[in-house]
Amino acid sequence: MRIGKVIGTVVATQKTERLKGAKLLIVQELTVEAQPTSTFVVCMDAVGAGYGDVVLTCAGSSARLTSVTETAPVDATIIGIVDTVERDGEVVFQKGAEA
Amino acid sequence: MLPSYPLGLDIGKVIGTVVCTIKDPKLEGMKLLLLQPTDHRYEPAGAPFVALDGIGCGRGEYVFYETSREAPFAYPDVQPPVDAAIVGILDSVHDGITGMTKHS
Repeated sequence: MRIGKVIGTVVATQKTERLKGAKLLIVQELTVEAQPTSTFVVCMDAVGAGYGDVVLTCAGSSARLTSVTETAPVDATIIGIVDTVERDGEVVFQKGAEA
Repeated sequence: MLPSYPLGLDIGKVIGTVVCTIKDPKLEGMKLLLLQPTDHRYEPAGAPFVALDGIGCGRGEYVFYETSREAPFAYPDVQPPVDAAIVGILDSVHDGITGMTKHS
């Protein structure tokens, strides 16, 4: 899984039947130290994430294993909202403490 | 002869943890770890990522992990929505070409 930051939303009125009601968010991938990268991915939201949240994303066919996405044609899902990331004993990300 | 594509199992080192309070219900009670992928000499190879802990391992341990649609089989009854999961702890890696064995 990758860590990312929600930076926007995608709205599509015309879409496949199985995406009806889906919330689609634009996620900028972050390094594990929560530094931004230049990779962006559209994810279906399974946990109620919002703008600015640092989230955990799952890609590939495993993305369809949540109850929200099990019938949806998606290959990237937000599966969690990150509270803390600890690396080598050091907290490198803390929710609410970011600048 | 090894196939030219990457094999399903890879090795890496546990370097940290990730905590999520709000997460998919299937992930309740499961542990998420930061993993630095390595080559068979335990040298870092590629960017770290988050993996599900399928066996109960700790920081500093060398492990092997499964990615993609096979990762949920770390918990076959639950099938959590994960694309990487740790499925074993390495004791040693033997290189058949050099004849060297490296212990964790």
